[in-house]
Amino acid sequence: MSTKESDKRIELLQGTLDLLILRTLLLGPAHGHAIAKAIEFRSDDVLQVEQGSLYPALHRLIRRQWISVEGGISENNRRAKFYRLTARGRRQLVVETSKWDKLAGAIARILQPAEPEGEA
Amino acid sequence: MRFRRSKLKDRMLEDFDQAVQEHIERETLDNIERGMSPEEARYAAFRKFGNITRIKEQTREAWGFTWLEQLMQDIRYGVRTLRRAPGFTIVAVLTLALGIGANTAIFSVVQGVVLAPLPYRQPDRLVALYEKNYRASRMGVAYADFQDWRRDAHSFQRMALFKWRDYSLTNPGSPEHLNGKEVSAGFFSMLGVEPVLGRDFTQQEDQPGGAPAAIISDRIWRDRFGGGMGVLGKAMTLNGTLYTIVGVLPRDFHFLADSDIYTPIGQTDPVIIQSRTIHASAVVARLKPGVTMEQAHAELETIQQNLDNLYPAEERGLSTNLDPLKQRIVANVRGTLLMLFGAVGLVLLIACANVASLLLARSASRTREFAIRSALGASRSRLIRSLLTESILLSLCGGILGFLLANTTLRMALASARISLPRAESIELNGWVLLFTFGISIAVGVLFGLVPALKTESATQQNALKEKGRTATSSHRRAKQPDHGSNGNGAGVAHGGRPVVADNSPLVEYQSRL
Repeated sequence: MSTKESDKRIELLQGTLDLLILRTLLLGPAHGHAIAKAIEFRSDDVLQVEQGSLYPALHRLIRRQWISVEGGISENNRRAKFYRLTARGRRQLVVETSKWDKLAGAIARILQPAEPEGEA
Repeated sequence: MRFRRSKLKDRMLEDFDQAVQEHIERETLDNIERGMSPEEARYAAFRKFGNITRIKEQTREAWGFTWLEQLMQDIRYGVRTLRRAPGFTIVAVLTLALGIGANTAIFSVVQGVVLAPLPYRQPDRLVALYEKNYRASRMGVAYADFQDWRRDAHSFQRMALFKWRDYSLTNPGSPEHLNGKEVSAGFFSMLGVEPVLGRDFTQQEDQPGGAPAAIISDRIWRDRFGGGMGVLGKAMTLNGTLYTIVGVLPRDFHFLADSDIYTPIGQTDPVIIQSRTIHASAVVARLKPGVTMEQAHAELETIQQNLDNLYPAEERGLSTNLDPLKQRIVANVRGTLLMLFGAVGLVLLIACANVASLLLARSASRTREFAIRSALGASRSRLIRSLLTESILLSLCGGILGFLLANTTLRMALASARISLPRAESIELNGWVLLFTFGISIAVGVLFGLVPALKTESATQQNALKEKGRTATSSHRRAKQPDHGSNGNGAGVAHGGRPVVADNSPLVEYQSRL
């Protein structure tokens, strides 16, 4: 494990993985490896996911009926499980996203240097 | 709904291994595309995936109910581990059985004698009354005083008095010496006890010259009168006087030392009846609803003060005292019993310390086992939990054996010498005692299991795996057991502070672990 590489990367915050999975599946059904790759790719490799930790999260989401699972054939002609966002999951994504926005906004406001005027 | 979910869960978990394999193959291919050698690519894919066993556990946990599955697993594993070390197990269980057994026995005595409520109606409303002077704080009550108390006091629903007396029964049957009490009218109804046959004494009987009447115990009824309904109205000769039987008491009636005969106290020696200086009788009373002990005591004091003034020659310096009836009955032994309880508690602590040190010695030799389990994905809390399960298994076995031990010894002790203990009849291994034994068994298991578990945990790290590797393979006993990751083929590799399983078939390895 090269230290240079791991310096650039950031461990995922607890609970955010669920949100990222839901967001990724909004683009269409995908299998596990594709989801992991998509999260890394779309974050320019900044977010480091221990890829295996994806699976407990997927099962948790299935149990809550936010995603569903179906068998299928992947792009290179192999059997694979595809995960699909459900209607309930779509609604949950909206809730989770707005929650995240609030949290991120609040943290950003605290971290920013105090400025006398403007920036409502 | 639950059914559907559990079916879905089973299907999902069945597919888990395959999903992981596919995932890793894809990642390997990606890595090869990036220019890694196939071997490198595969290794990197595993590393990026994480600890497969742990992730599988977490995936199970996502479906809930895993703690129960894990508990069953830990129990099975614990039973197997303990069976493998019969010497240790037997010594530990016997040690614990003695400790827990002693505690169970003493607790059952404390419970029956001190803790259990008295077997009368609303027993917490019953009080014992005493006279008191500068020398003695709790004396018997003079009969004449009792009569004045009963007439003047308003704090009590009922007040009754009794006095010990021996009887010689000469007819019917062979002569026998019997213990008994003389009691005032309404004594039994004050306690809330109904005779199974007949009635309590009446006011007419409870005075000098009243018709001689007797109430008998269940034992005398059966032994002397065959237990028939016709016993009422029959005669018996006590101390040379002919008494008519007017009542039979319930079989389970006990009040202080057991008595077979009760007669009205009003017919006793006239000297006693008139005396204010012979403190020969004990007074028991039932408080009126809503009246506190303090209020009742204050009223009694006032009455006694008046009597003191009325009869200056005889009553000099007398006041009163009042206790809960239970205290009157068990006060003598309460302290002793609690001290005994403390002593056997200490014995149990010593037993715990002994077993804990046995466990510690054992855990030192099991360091490698824990290292392997943690390398295979067992989390820290999981290891501690499985060790605790093991120690609680031990202590529960000790508890069961201890309970049986207490049962036998207690039975023998109570049967052989009639131990002079108040309320000995109410000592039994009942539900409370069972609960107590179960409770201390669990507590003891946690107590002596926690120290070794925590200590072991700190020694779990990879060092153990590395250092002991050589000794382990050369040890004949160890080598006989199925041992994963010990043959040095890179099956268990400590990497970057975290063990990673980099074998060709990590899942096979996981499955054969337990």
